[in-house]
Amino acid sequence: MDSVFSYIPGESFLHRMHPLTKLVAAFAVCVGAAVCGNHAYVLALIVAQLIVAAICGCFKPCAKLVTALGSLALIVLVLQVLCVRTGTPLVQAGWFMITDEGLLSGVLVVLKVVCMVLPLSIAFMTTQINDLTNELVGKWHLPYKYAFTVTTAIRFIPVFMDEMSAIMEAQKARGVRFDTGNVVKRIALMVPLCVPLLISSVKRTDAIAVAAELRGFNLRTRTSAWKKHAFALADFIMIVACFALFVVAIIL
Amino acid sequence: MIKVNNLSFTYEHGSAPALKDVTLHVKKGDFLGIIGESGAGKTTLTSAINGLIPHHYHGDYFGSVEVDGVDTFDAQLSDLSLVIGTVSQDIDSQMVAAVVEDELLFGLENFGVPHDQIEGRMLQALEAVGIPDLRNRRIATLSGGQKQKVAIAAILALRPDVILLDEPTGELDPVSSRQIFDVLRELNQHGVTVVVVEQKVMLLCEYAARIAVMDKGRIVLEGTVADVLRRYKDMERIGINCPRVATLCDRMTERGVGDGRVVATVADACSYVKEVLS
Repeated sequence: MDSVFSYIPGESFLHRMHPLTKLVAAFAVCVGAAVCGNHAYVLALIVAQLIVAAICGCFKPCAKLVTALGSLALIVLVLQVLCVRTGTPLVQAGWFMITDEGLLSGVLVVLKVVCMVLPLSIAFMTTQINDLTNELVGKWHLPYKYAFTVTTAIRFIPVFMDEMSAIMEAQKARGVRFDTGNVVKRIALMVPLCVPLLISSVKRTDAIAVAAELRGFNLRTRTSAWKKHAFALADFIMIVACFALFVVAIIL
Repeated sequence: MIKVNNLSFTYEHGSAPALKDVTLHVKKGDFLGIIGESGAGKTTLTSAINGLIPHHYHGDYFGSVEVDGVDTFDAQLSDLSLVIGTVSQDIDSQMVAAVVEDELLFGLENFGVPHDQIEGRMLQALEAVGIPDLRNRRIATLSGGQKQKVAIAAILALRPDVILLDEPTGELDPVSSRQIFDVLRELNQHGVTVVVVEQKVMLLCEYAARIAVMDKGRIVLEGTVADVLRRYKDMERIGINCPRVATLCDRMTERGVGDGRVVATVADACSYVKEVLS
């Protein structure tokens, strides 16, 4: 079971880039998309990112992400279209009204959501999370404890998913009907799942702490990391380019 | 190397003592197997040896544990873990990284191994367990046996004098279990002291030099494999299945056949029987 944060091995230019460059660039594009009010520009950003994703061999998961977000964004679109009452009405029947402004702003929101999620996803797919945290600890002086907590949390998402489905299987085997059609009932059935999951995760936390302690977790310092990443010309170009995209987004 | 003297230990909030008056000495270069039913105190004993008791788990502690001449009470946990490398029971919790290489790096980086030695140590550790090809694999994609080997390699890279394993073959099939023990034997031949908790008695009989049998917090039998197997009736009373070759040898001796020796493996039993028959 993979999450959007899963690393996809590869040798593309993004894979080889400095982890912090990718983080900064992703934030620039992300914030740029958030403040931009131009449909065409946001759409162009999305297309550009998908092309980059294709070059880096992570087009498939990105496309999956876009479709998944698309269905979620559709709800936002409908709400937005129904709620905005300003502008020229296109369709009108009683209180029901669709205006051109509503339609435009709805589409913009959808595009923005997609465009804001892509950069960080691509950055994570092309960066090993350990490299990123090691650089954050080494260059930006983030305390290692926090970095370790974050990486461990991300790494254990699939483990806990497996545990969850194991508990569900066990309860199904004893007659709990998780496949009931009633949504409310199904949610009510999820509640008793929480206790065993919580207990097993707390137990696991202790085991992780022990294992880390036995391998010198407490001795680690800022300069412990072995792998070194150097800033290259490509990193410089990347940051300048993404900053330029950001500035253009503000101007438009 | 390891001296456990009259150790009794009760976990905090525990009702009964987990260890009762345990005495166990392990010499440098030994290959000791610890066997016993679930709840016999095997894991508690390993925690006492690697310093988790008293540094991580607290409770009532009587007696002493010495590692390399230092009382574990006086030593830092991180200093102890450089002498004794521990491979814990729950492999998934032991893994701290997403990729095999990073898993090995974790310990090396933490203990401040000079950066120019790291590459060599990683290669050597991976080769020792026979998985140099897995170096760049994601841990989530590995099988149980492969993960177990990665866990051992991550400890080996630190070059401990003693390697302590808690049921390393717990979730493995017979073939992978043997592979793990082959690795341990190889290490032992290179001078690493091996202490392994194991439920599979056949494996211990074949690979270990000495066996300690635990029951209800005590060590009830301890000695060379042959010594322990000679008392297989005691073991069966405790609830440990003995290899059938031990029963065979015992019956032969009872009826006055053979020279009264005890063998531990099927191959040895074969040649013994052939010898007697001819």
